[in-house]
Order: sequence, then structure tokens, then C-alpha cells
Amino acid sequence: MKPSTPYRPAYTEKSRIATVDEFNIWCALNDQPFNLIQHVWPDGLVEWDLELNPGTAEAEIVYGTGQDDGTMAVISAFAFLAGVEWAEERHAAAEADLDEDDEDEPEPVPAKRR
Amino acid sequence: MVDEPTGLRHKEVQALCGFWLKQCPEGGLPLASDMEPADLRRWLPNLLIMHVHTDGEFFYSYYGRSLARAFGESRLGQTLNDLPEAVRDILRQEYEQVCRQRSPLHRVYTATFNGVKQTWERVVLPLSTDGQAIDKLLVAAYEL
Repeated sequence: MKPSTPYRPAYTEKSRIATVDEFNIWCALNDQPFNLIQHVWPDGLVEWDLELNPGTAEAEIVYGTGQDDGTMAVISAFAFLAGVEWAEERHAAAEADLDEDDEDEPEPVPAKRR
Repeated sequence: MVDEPTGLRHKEVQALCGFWLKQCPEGGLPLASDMEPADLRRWLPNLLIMHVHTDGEFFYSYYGRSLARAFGESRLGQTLNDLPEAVRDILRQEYEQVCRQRSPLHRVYTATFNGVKQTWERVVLPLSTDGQAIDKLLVAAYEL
């Protein structure tokens, strides 16, 4: 396997994103199917959660940021996306290695009859 | 060369169109990924982004807070098919025209929202992911 080192996620370029709305429009502009939404727990505690496929029948919360502050939630959400991106890159590298291994393997030779 | 829409009335619509034009490369359309959210900050509550699916369907991938408040709900994640027929047909024609002509479209309309007659100005600005195909529309709407 050849993981890219050092790993450098796309979000490092986006340091000017400071608010939840800016994060949400960044997702829309960059084909990321996520949205930060505010969740209120039964005890009244507020938390920003990351929703996948927002507004659709397949919508689901994939990550609770644990933050009630929008700016901190944006940082947490980008960290989560970086983890997803990293895992995808590792997975792609592993698959590419498997393909290479398959190519190196010699073709099976049929056994000769006596 | 993309021409600026004429007859714009709301100053924020004018400003957004000016910003969009500055993002246009020579002979091309702005890349969605080049749009900095911080640069769009002043318009965010009144913006929405329509994603143009490969099958020609349009769905809302961003819905500004002011628009959600004004129209009663956020349509995030919905497609045009989820809208009432009369509205759907007008918007579909409008979005398809922008994709076909590869240029902005602007319209002023009056309608009754929540029992109140209102006049709005909206503009539709095309965006691209690869510089060629239009796969996103940046839409702004302001009440006049």
C-alpha cells in the first residue's frame, strides 16, 4: 500500500469559513452531501449535528459535533470530513495495490497429462 | 463573453451579479469550487443553490435562512417535482434556459405569500464544476 504522506485534507484551504451557513454552502458548492443542523436534546441542551443527504428520505445524522457554538461545530465538521476523505484515500490506495498484485501474479498453467 | 443582466433593481442583486461576473474566467463560467463562502457572506440568507443532476432534474442543495423564513420552510434536499405544479413549471423553464444559454437570468414577480402580496426580484447565475458543464445554479431572491 502507498498512502500519501503527509496527508493534506482539502479543508485546510478553507480556513476563512467561520459560520454554519458558510460551511453548508461550501458543502453545496463542493458536492459534499452534508449539512450542519441544530439539534435540541430533551434536556434543552443544543448541539450542532452533521446530517448526510439533508432534506431527503435518506437523511441521517452521521456525526454529533458535541458543540453548541457554530464556529466550533464547523471546525469539528471539517475534522470529520477530513477523516472521511482520509479513509477514502486509504481505501482507494489499498484497492489500487490489490489490482497491481493481481497483475503481477503469473497466469495459471494447466497441468500436463501424463 | 457573458453579459451582465440589465434592469436589475435591488442593490444586493446588482452586487451579486457584479461579483459573479468578476469570477468568470475569459470566455467561461465560474467554477463552483472557486466560490469562497466568506465572499458570499452578505448574500447567504437570500441565496439558494440548485444542483443540476445528470438526468436533468434540479434539487436544492442550499437554502438560505431568509428565504426559508419568507416562504415558510426550507426546501433543502427537495427537487422541483416537490413543488406545486404551477411554480414548478415556471422554475424548470427558467433553470433550463440558464443551462441552455449559459448566461444569467433575472425576473421580477409579484405573488401572495402567507396571505401577503409581495414583489420579489430573483437572479439565476450558472456555475460549473469542470468549466464546461453547468451543474449548479446560484440563485438569489430579494423582496423589493
